[in-house]
Amino acid sequence: MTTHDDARVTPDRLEDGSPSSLSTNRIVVGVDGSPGAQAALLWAVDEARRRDAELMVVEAWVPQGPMAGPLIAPGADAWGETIERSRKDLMSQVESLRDGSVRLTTKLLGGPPHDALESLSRDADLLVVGSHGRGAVGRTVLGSVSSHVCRHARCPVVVVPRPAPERPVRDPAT
Amino acid sequence: MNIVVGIDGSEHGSAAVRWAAREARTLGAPLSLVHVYSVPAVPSVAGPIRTPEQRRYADQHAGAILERARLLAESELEGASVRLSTDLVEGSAGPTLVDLSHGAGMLVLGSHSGLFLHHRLGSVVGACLHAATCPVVVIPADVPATAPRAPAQSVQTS
Repeated sequence: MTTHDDARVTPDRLEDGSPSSLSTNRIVVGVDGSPGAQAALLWAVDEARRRDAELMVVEAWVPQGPMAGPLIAPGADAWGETIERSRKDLMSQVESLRDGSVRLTTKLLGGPPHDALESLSRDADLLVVGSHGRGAVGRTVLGSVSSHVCRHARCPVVVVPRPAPERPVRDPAT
Repeated sequence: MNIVVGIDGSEHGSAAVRWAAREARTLGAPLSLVHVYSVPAVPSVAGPIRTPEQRRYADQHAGAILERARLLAESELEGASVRLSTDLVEGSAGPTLVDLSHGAGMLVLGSHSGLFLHHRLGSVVGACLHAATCPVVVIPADVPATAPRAPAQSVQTS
């Protein structure tokens, strides 16, 4: 397992060092750089502001292709590159959100995203995911990660719909 | 940003009501409880028919489910200034709730709404996750919404 916490954002909060209480006042959002995840992230930021909660932005990196098999070149640091790429990806997604209006932490985890999110849901008030992540090609009714966490998460799960500008916008006050 | 809760009369539905009421309280958002029901039909040579007795029974049953949910929501709200409304709709739960998701701030459902198997999502939840245009909140069935949460555990990944 590889875990990186973004110490620059919350130097006082170490990995798994969060206080345990009746309410964790923490929202976890899973991202993967997809438009669906971006919609989930923006919703989660708003919700964190509304609740004055901590927002933990989580990205999971998964070894791709030959990196996971015997074809890996000896000495090549393919995993390191993947981790670094995922880390940059994660940072670029939260960069614009660091305006001080929300307490934001980031977490980079190795392994399948649904496992990581399911585990993190044990210590969260809310888990936010997009309806479709990078893996879905629009064929499926619901992305595999969102489908899994809806069934197995230990806290309420918010599934944010895919952005669809063609949908009619109605008065939210009604 | 109003919060719509789909009520199904189950324990999971109750967890959804409790969660939504607290969320409405926190956010100061209007709370709308919706119960969608259908009147069972009896097959006949002339096609399915619904007798007045069946209709009356279904109406009463649905009304009682919604009233229980309203009382539960009121007790969670504890006099907070949240606008609470109830809506009894005869029809199909999935499409009705999807319709209501237009313009809603969030749609809250118990994870098993429409199904009674473990580790499966209910059909109503599936329909809403597929087509709702607002965020859908799925409340887990096996964790009381008010329970203290366990300390963080290390993430098991391989």
